[in-house]
Amino acid sequence: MNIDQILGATIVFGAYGFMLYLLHVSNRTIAEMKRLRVERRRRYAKKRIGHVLEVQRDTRHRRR
Amino acid sequence: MENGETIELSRGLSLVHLMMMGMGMMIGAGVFVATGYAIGFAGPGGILVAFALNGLIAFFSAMSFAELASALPTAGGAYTYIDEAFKGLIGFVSGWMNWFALTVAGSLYAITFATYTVFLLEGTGWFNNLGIDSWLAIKVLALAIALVFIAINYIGVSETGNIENLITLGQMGTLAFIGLFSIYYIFVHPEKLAHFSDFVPNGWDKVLMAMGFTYVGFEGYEVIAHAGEEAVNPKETVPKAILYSVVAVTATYLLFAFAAIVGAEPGNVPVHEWFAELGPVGMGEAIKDLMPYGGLLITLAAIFSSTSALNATVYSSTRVLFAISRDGRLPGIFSRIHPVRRVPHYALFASSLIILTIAVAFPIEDVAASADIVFLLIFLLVNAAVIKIRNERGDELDYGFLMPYFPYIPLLAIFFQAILSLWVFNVSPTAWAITIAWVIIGLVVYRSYEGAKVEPFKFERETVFEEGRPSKYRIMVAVSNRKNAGVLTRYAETIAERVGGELLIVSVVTVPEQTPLEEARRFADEAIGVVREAKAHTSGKVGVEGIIYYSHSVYRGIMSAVRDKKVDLLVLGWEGRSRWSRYVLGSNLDRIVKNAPCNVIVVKPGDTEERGRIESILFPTRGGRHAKMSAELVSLLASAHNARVTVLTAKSGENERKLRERLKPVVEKIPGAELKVVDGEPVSAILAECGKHDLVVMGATREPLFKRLVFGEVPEKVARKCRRTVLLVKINRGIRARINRLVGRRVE
Repeated sequence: MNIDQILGATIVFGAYGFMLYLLHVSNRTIAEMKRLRVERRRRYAKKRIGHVLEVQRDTRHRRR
Repeated sequence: MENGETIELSRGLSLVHLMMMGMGMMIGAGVFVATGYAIGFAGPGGILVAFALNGLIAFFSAMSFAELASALPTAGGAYTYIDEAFKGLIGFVSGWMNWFALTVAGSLYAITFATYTVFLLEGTGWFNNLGIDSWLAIKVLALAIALVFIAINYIGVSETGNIENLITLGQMGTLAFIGLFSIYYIFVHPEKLAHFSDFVPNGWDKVLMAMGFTYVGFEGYEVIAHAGEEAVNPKETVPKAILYSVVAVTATYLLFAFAAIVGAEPGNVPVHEWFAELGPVGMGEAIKDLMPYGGLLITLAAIFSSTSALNATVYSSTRVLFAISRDGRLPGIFSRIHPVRRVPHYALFASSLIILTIAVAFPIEDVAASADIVFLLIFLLVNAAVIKIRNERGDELDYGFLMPYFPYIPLLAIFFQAILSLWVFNVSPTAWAITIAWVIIGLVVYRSYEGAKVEPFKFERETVFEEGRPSKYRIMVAVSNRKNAGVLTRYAETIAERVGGELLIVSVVTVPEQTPLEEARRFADEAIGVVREAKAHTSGKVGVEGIIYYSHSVYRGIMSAVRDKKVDLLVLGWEGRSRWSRYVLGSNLDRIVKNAPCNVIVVKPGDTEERGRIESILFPTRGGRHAKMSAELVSLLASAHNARVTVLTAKSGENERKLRERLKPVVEKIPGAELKVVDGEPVSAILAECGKHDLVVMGATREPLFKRLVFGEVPEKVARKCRRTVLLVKINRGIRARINRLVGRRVE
């Protein structure tokens, strides 16, 4: 292999390898952000359910 | 809205749909023509290097698109992002250029389809017997195929996606088959690797030329961002589809170019010269030599690719026109959605008209080159937009993806795309003339339609009242309930009056993420009442504006107001306790105080507020950056209320003389203040003293690293336990704050 071929192969594999590395890091970020989103939604739902139960309890208490 | 019924774009596109759309658009007809030429001047190795580097640059830009698409999943793609970052004229011009580039690319793909089809038919006897002129046949076929895809787009989004899938699968399958066959071929004929012996015959600078010449094959993934509003779970699927498409297409191109080089039978001529001689049909000839029926296969692949790209460009150009019109910058007719088909039919017809006209009437090569320039400039602006949007609004946006190594990646993309767009200028000056002419037409349209623009942030804020003259110094009071609205407003007004500033009374109405922001308006009555109540506590000596902000979170709403109104001082209220132990003041307060790009005062109303008079102020301090500024505030409040001031400090083992010396500049800022030095631990010393005063003002202290503190340990403990009104002051004027403002803020 001559110097041009070595340099060319290094650039091709290096560039594509770096692209794959960035894709891997990006995938991790997407997964992590999804987890946070789901967690936030769950927390909100929990809060809402808690509020509804509280209102129901109050209503029942008042009726009595 | 028609007959009182809201009609929205349908959500029918999955990750696979989106990827197929992106790849279909990227593997357009360009690569079949451009690759042969590029091998001609860059050599067999040069084309592989050019494809790999182009793929990387395209991936950098794709990351910008992915980040923005995850945060702003609305129809319009690049135009929406640039408009979001730069607003006004630049936003409109980018959308106008984007629409032009997409329609022109549509014409190009229609012509390419027709050319390849005629090329295929010319090999048959019956076509030659018809005696039709090739040029006429190409034009008629181009019109026919364009009309077919306009009709398909009119049918609806999901149907479009299914057709797209079939076409893209066909083209990817063909290219992948050719590429994989070449790997098998090289095992059977290892001597063919000798074609790479002269790796870059004309030097490495020609590789840059090849990059510019073939870059067009790496644009097209933005079509995925255009489909954001129609994607299933867009925060996840859109960024993934964009990134996967670029990686898959780069690999396909590398394999395809490799196949052509090993397949070529140049005889005694060097391989690059053989490709240079054959020009656009070089790839076809090479693949024909590689495998049986290779010529037919590559022609079919080219036909598949051009139809796929045509479909995607019709789709995207329609969505861009729809978005510009929806923003009120072009007549509203283009943003109407068909009630049955659920597609913006008028926008589709307008785009179709341009596609058909250009396909028939104009010299397609120059117009296509100008589309290249416009695409590169738009991508460049998108990379600038991603930096600006994350720095300015990062805190407010709900991202589904944040690119790593920010802002170096978009900066690199800007640099390389600027070079490539200049290179296209060298290839075709006419293309630049066409681009400039289209921009001028756009400017005329923009000016003539200026009056009909809708007001920005239509659903994000609403002014309740606006009185008095605007001033340079803006104090914003964030009120959430009637209980503390009066107290906060009184303090804010006192400061505004003394510094000659104006007052903004703001309340934030929130709705959950699932509910569109415009629906928040229904729940605004209470907030309007609170803002009016706060206004009733003002004396009318300073200008007052009352604004309601609609947001998905209190934090984002307040931060948005602070930036939007360029606030200098933010006044917030605190009840004195946090609902969650993991927060110091509260989940919203903690983040606002830490991240607000302005000075912040947190007021904890105490038991002396009912009296409404302040006769004595306690100012506990141990010096420091926040102390001097806080002293100015104390001086201002003292003079407004004619109150006495006691500056209190605890020795904590320090030499009293040195301590007095250190606090001298602070005390000098408050005329008539008495400095009191006490023994013992600071918190208990301050709490023992505060009962004798009406108001306690404390500046933030230096925060120890890795400790969860907002104002500092002592101020927070005192504020929690003291029964008098406490003002916690955080100054945001230091060099760190300036850097923070310049280079960006924490995004959560």
